[in-house]
Amino acid sequence: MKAAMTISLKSLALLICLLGAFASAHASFTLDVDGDGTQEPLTDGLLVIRHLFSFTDQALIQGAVNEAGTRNTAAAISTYLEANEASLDVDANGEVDPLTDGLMVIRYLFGFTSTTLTQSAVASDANRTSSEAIEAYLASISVGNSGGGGTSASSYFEDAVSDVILNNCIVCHNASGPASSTPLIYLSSSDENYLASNYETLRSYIAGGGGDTLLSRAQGVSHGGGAVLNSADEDFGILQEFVLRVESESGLGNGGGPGGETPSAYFESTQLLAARETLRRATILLIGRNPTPAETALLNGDEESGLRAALAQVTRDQAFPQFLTRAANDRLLTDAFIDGTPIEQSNINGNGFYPLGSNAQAEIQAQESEESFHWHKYNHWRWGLARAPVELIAYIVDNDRDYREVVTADYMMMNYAVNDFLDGGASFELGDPESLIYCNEMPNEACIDYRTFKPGYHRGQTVLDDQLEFEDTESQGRQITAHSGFIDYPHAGVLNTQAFLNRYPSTETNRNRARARWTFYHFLGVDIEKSAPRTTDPVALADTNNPTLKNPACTVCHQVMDPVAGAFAHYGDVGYYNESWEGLDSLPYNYKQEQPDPASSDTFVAGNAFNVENESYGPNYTLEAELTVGTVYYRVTFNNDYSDEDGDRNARFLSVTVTGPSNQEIIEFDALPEGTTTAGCGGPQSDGYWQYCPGGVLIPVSISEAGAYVFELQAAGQQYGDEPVHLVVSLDTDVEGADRYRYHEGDIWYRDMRDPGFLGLSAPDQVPSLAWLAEQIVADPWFAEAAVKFWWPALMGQEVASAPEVLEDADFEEKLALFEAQNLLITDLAEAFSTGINGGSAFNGRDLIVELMLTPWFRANSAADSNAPSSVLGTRRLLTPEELEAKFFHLTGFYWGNWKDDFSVWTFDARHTKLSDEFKILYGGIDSRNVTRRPEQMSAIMFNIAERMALQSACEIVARDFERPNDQRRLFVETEVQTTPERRFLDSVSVSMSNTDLAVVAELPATLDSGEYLVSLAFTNSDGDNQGHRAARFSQLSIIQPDGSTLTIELESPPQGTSFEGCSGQATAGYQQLNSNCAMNVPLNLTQTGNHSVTLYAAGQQYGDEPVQVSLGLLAALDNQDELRSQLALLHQKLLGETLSIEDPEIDASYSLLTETLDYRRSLGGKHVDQWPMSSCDNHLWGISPLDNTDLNGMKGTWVTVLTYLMTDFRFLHE
Amino acid sequence: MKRRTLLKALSQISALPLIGMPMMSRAQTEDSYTGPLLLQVQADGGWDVTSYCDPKVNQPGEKPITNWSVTAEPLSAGGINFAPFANNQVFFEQYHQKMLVINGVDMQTNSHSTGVLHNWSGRNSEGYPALTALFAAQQAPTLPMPYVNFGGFGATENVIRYTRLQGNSDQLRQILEPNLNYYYEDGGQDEPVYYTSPEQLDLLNEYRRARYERLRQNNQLLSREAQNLDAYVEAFENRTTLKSFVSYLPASDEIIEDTPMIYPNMKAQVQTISAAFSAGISCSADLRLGGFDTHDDHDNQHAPLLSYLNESIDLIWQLAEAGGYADRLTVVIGSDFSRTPHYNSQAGKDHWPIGSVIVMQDNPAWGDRMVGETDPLHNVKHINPTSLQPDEAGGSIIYPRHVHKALRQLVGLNDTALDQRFPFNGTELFSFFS
Repeated sequence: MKAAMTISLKSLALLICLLGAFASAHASFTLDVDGDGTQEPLTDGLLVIRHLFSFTDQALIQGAVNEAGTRNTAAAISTYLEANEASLDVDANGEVDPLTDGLMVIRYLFGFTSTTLTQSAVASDANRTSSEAIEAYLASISVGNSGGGGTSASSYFEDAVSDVILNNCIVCHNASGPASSTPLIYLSSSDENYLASNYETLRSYIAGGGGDTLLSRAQGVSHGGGAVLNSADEDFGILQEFVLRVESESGLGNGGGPGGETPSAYFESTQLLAARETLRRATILLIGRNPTPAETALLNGDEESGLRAALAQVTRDQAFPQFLTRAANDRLLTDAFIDGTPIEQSNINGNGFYPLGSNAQAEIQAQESEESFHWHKYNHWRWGLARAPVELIAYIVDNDRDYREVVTADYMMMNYAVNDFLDGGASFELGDPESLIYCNEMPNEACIDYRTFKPGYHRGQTVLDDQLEFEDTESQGRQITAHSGFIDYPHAGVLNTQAFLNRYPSTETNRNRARARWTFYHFLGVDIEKSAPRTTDPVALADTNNPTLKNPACTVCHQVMDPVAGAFAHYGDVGYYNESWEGLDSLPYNYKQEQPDPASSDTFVAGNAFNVENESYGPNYTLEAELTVGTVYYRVTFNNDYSDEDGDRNARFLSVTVTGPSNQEIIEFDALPEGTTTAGCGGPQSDGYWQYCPGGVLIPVSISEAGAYVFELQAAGQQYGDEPVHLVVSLDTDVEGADRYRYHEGDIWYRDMRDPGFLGLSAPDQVPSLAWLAEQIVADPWFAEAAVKFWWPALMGQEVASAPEVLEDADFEEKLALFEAQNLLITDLAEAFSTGINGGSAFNGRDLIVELMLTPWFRANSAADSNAPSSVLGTRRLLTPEELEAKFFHLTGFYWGNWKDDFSVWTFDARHTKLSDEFKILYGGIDSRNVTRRPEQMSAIMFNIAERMALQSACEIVARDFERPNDQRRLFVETEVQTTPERRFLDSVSVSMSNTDLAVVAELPATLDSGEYLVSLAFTNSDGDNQGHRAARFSQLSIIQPDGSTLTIELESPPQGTSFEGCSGQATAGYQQLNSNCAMNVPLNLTQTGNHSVTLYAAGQQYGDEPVQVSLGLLAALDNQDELRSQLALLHQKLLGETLSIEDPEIDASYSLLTETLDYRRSLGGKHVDQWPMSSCDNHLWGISPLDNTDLNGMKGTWVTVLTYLMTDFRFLHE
Repeated sequence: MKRRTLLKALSQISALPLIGMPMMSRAQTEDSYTGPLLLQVQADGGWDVTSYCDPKVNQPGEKPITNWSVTAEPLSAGGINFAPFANNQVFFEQYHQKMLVINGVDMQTNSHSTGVLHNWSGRNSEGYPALTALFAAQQAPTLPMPYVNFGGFGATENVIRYTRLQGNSDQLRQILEPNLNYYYEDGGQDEPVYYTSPEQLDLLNEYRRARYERLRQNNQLLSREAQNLDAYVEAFENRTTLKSFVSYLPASDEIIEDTPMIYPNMKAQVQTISAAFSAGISCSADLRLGGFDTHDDHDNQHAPLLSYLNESIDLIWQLAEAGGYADRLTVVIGSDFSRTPHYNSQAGKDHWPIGSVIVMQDNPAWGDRMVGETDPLHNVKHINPTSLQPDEAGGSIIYPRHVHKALRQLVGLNDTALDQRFPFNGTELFSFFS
């Protein structure tokens, strides 16, 4: 269907020819060229394109004109089109061209839309580029409209643009909205003259050269509101068209805004990973392993539904929560408290906020009779608090709970220690002391795995007040003997976990703004710091008069950020709830005590500051002002109170004399007039008014005559130290004045900041503000978009693209296209997430993660042509150390550097490894504090780490895997260690021999064809010392053939062609003795086909308790390339994700490496994988299980090299 | 001040031992780098330049800018003024001849992330690399660790890859020669034990190269895979001289230990990068010290940090002298922005966009000078780009882009393709270094 709708340049030319070749200016141009009241492709459209091809006369109109039309002559049509040629510049490049503008006109009249309308028809220098903008323009010059080409910008605004503004912009761009400090302030449709006003606002902005900025801001470039429109949106096209018209009318060159690729076309030239490969890549990235057969079985070809089901199944793996916590920490960075400085709230030594924890610690200190010792539970408590946010997110996603609980959960995740100290109410099962070694150190404590988290309720904090009592114990721990009741902690998901609050701590001047910023970033997807340009105005920067509330240069951000900061009002600098004394708020003491700056009042009249050094009254501290009739309020404050056991500083006020133009009044402080108010502790004494602590006196003064006034204060200071008493006097016409921004009893938040709230809404007093904020956040569409952005980096290996900021950058268009394409997906996916993806439940995090992995952003794998987007996307991203470690573990069964599978009590995950601990930062990991961003490409140091991992572990992987029965192996299931390129292993049997008398020790039945074989007799445990040694004696092979006959081979004189691997035999009269680990290979020429039975007569020379170990193996002398190539193909698939045939050039290369290495090893003549001084076989399980490093035929060592090659391959390290 | 006096003073401050200096007998490899070197010292959080290199006298009727200036006057060493705060006197008296102080640099922001971005990339919009990244890409991109980053700002914009390091020599030593398992003593000699033979390693490298060529021939690779593939092959091809680093690395007991309450360990970073410079395997690096965001108890928190910073810079030059590369080294020291010229109610200082940048070389002709200027209340002034004198009419405020443009010229980046790829169009060239 799509193909049938395509009009190519070729078919257009044909159309023009077939229809033959043979036209009055109009005030308002439409595409009804022949004036018949309609617009048709094969008349009006054809006339346009012929005209643009310079056809005239009959060639212009033949077969293309409705004779009934008002313009039915060639002359009339030519005149009409020439007069309106500018209106035919559809792509707004300043030129009218038949193969661009003409083609799009005719396509449009045929009903084409979207890319079928514009493909290959938009000039490279076009300013109207998107199909939406072009459609909007063509619609405006269509019959039925007023004639767009001739329509004024004003009319177009009323017809189309106004709705765009009202629907998209006015929510912020209004007089009191977040964008009120910008030039674009619109009136709502209920306001009088809103159309004219809004038109003029937008027109003047564009006419002033802001057209490009307008369009780019709408797309999210340097826009506080993020991306509001996508260039693929119809509304964007309308806005773009309006810009063009205003610019045209204003005499500006057409800008039309940034163009670039439309988001819908972003992946047109890329190919996606097939479903099977997508499943593998996802499974490796999520949990480190290859998909199971059961997961793979859910696939249905390349059907998306099958892939979705398989991916969902993978997320049911028990390792999935580790991905979730890791990904969540990459955003929240709360694991900074795991290895580094612990959360400040976790200090429970005599901590009055946490009496349960403090008393538990004091008790254990008493038991141990010392203050300092390693109490595992204390570590577990610290870790438990630190992990609470990421464990909450993992719990919600992994249990298919409503994702909105991330910020709205009325519980928190606790391990047993946190549960105990916070009285969480969760119950935990006892663990196994054998696997939790810390349990053995303190057997009197409950043995519980600290890595288990459950939902609980924080009921363990009290407030600091008069009821708090302490008692120091003999072991120096502090017992809390009395305290007020426990707080019913108002949980708000992650937002008020101790770790989140402490990771983004506050100060008296920061006032929770960092918490607000990161709340916006993590849960609303908005980076406030990037969202608005900051002032460069030195005056604004030097403004100390509450600029965040008053200065437009600052309010642009702070009016959005500060209400959210206010919602954190109850949480102090490190995050305690209501940490102020008496537990009513978390406002700092300084703020509560601070006297307001009189000059900060909007009704401030005059002020002065004095140092009072005299202790007796005088001299007069004067303040002069011009006053009008009315009441003025005279204030005197004392600001620098200080005292200790050596003395005290106080202020004393006697009188103030007010001298006006024609009168004088003396106000005595011991008889203050009605209406006087006081602040701080103070009061009248026999010799005036004494102010003991910060505060002062506010006196109303009635002014009955305008003019110059002088206020003279008689004051004294009670000195302390070198610093004099500081007094401030001021006049204000408002009784509130500067008090408006001063602390008042009962306040929970700063008066000089905006009230707690969210985007114009105020938090009600009756409910906990943070829980209220959480409800507002999840109701906002940005929350769902933020969720998409939250998980994006962990899956895609990159941050979500941010909008480019500098139009002049050479790569601006490319970055904008990338941003738009991602933003389109994020918006769409967020919408689906909030309503339920594919019919699932709304806000299901698992569904979101699965859906992200179905997108081209995860699956784009190769370029179909050279036009693939040049931005950084696609598969094969560098694995993080954690991902590489998980992949390594699932392939090998152990962790690199985790010797003997030790349980480390010092690390949260209980194991110390090379990749997760020792080389974590060097290999691109983060410590969540100093290093918070992961590199995206490999460095030489990182390659060395990867190579060392391979060199150090490949030997163990190979040796350990060949030790296992074939059906239990992880890697080598297509071959056996005995198989070489020349010999195929058939079967073997291993036996122990404790007897020294020759006897039948092994029988090996086999169904064989006639031909050449080898019997391999190997001795594998030749340990000994100066007390003795072990040896194997092989006497005879007896082969019973299908016809019953017996073929006997005496081994003391074996047949020609017998060879020894790793030693030389010692022939005696009755047997061949092997004194060290080695093998003898005896040729066997069978002439019959059928069932054979091989019997070995042998004996062992014992040493110690361990019997002699030998094996009897049967090999065929055949070319075994196919078997080895199959094994190589399997390794390529398991390690690199490559599905290759055994003839593939990559398998050729790997096989070549194998044979070259085997030749090399054979040249060495050794019989162990490790050959001194090349000692390559470590054993991570050295205390548990020895490793068989014998390598008689060189194949183990060969596989070690092949594995090293593959484990350092680009595709092993990048997925 | 004589060197001995300085060292004595430093040792009194931090008991800084003169350890970790590479022995001069250690031979550089034939491929080692001997060109110019660039170090950026990032004081994260916003340092207080009024307590450092832009000292102010408290003004009558205004809040105190600094507490030290209640009782003291700014000091000077040569042509440079400094605050008598922390161990500044020892430091500036020792190093004034090596340094140019650019005061009054307007970072145009009070936001940490924007300040860091602006100061270290030259503009407050993303998309430009760190100067160190550009420098390494231009000077020596094929070194094993051309550009080292210890955790601070390190945008590369794909002109080069950074190597992330920590100041931990034990970890590094393990992986500089990945095939080396351990040494055993044999007849009084340390003999190496390897994981595999040199022949096998050569064979592996041969097959890796061939594999890369085959993968790279695929013309359908998306740009990410292609770029990562190139990075991968460069990583293993350019590592050949990494093992020469081993002999320069300080032993674990030579690494200067963490200083309480100071994070991360910048002195260990200095020791590590000095070893890399001495070995000729790196040409640029970003060092990072955090903690300067002192919104409360400013003086008590800032003083030890500035002292530690000074000691670290001193260590840079000590080790550069010992390593024989001091005459090739440029050091740039800066921060997100500065701190308010007054204290808040918690005795802290909040964010202030006007900061300073210090550039150091080994006794340059342009050294021992202060350029740029702020007014008595630490507000920015317009400066004439040529005369470098205040010029409200014909001058310009100094922005980071001006500093970067001049620095690019200083370190030989001007008019290179990389310079043109990340241009500072319409930006005056200040004659800081002429």
